[in-house]
Amino acid sequence: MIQMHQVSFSYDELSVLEKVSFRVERGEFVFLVGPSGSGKTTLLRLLYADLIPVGGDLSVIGQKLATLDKVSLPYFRQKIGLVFQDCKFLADKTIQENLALPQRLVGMAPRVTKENVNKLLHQIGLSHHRHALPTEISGNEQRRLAIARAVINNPVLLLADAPTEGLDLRLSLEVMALLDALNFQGMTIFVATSDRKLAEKCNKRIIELRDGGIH
Amino acid sequence: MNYRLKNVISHIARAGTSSLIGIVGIGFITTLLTTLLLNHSFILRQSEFKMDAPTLVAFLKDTVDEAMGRTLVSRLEKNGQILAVNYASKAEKLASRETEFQDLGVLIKEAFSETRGVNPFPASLNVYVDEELITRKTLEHIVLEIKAHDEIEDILLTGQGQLKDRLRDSERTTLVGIGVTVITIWFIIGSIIRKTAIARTDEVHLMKLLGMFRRYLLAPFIVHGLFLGGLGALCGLGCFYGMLYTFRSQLGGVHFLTIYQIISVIVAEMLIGLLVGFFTHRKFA
Repeated sequence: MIQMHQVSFSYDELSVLEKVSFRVERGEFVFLVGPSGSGKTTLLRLLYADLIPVGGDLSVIGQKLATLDKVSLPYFRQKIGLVFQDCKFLADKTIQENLALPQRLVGMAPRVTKENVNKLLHQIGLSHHRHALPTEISGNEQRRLAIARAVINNPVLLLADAPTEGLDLRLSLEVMALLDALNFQGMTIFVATSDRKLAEKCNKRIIELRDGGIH
Repeated sequence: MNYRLKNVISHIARAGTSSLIGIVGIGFITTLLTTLLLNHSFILRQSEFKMDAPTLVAFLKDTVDEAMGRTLVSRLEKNGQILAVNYASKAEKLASRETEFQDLGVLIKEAFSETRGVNPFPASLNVYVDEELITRKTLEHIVLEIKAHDEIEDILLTGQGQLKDRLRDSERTTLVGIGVTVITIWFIIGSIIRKTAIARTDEVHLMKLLGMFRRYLLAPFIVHGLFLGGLGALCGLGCFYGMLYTFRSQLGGVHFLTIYQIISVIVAEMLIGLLVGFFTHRKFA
């Protein structure tokens, strides 16, 4: 599912990742742990082709990212679910509009979109907030909404950047249970977090990123 | 409401008051352009009305007979700037005036019978000058040259020469006006659409990360351009019509633009908006 071989990345002169190599198989649930500033977000951005590595080979869902062009990039990203560290919602759109966005972007029929949105809102317990703005719900609800938006198009791979940031242990475990359920359905999950204890509690494979390399 | 429509409306609304200011700006430019167009149309109509008229008429002295007149014609035609010279004899002029003015022609004939004989109309030469060469200066030069011949009594400029000259001037001014209008409207619409695009940078980036196709944003950009161009054109035409209506007594028989000109102005400005929207989309989406 993910093959990273000797991948390096630097912001101008500042080297962030140096010859990073690892593999994630289909259906795996993997944690990428490391302290703040260790390059977790950068590594995730490389995985969804928001950044281009300066060296090495990177392949995600069987797609070599070096050969990805402007035309095939949207198709590639539609196969991936993304949960951002800051959630990234459209501030002037309601919760149901934000949730429907990925379906609208792929041109899903409005009737199907409406059904999927209702189903997911019910599953994450936000049906009663459907007309609220993202800023009007709690942090935990925002995380759940971000996960729901990431999975609404049934991606084969879910990349989550600090999905439990700012949540207490109980709410963090709730979010992890949600991700575990998705993994159980066959979705490959790759979670970047600085909370090593939480990763250990979940009893999943852990990749540690430190000083720009994998340990 | 349809999501795409909502997306377009929300995109346009992002520009806020800039759109309003832009429409006023485009309206102002359109008013100036329509003034030039109207002026050009007016001169063109006058010119077409006098299309068959000679550039000037040279009246011959009564002592000049037809043979001398025709010799003069062949001498004048050697001038490269003169396209053609038609000789009209006294008899022909009398016949044509009688046909043209009927009873009045007879009255004129009787009034001048004592001083100028039974036919008071002089023989004349209708001189046609090459339209491409007509300028005030060339016309002056030709008049002086014709007047230098002893056979000529007087010269009458029909106004066709000056009209052609004015027509060429107004053509040039209108073309420059159209160019300036296109550039200005392009700049105004481009600035507003760019501003909207910049305001949506984060949103567009998020949508790209979620797998947005570039064509998804095309409609809002193009509709925004069409909206600004079309509404600006209507605003300008409306103002111009208002001014024309207000000053109608001072302007006399000046008519508003033809329906084809109105449609051309609106379509052209909407087309500019469409192109600006398209190119801005290519840059930002």
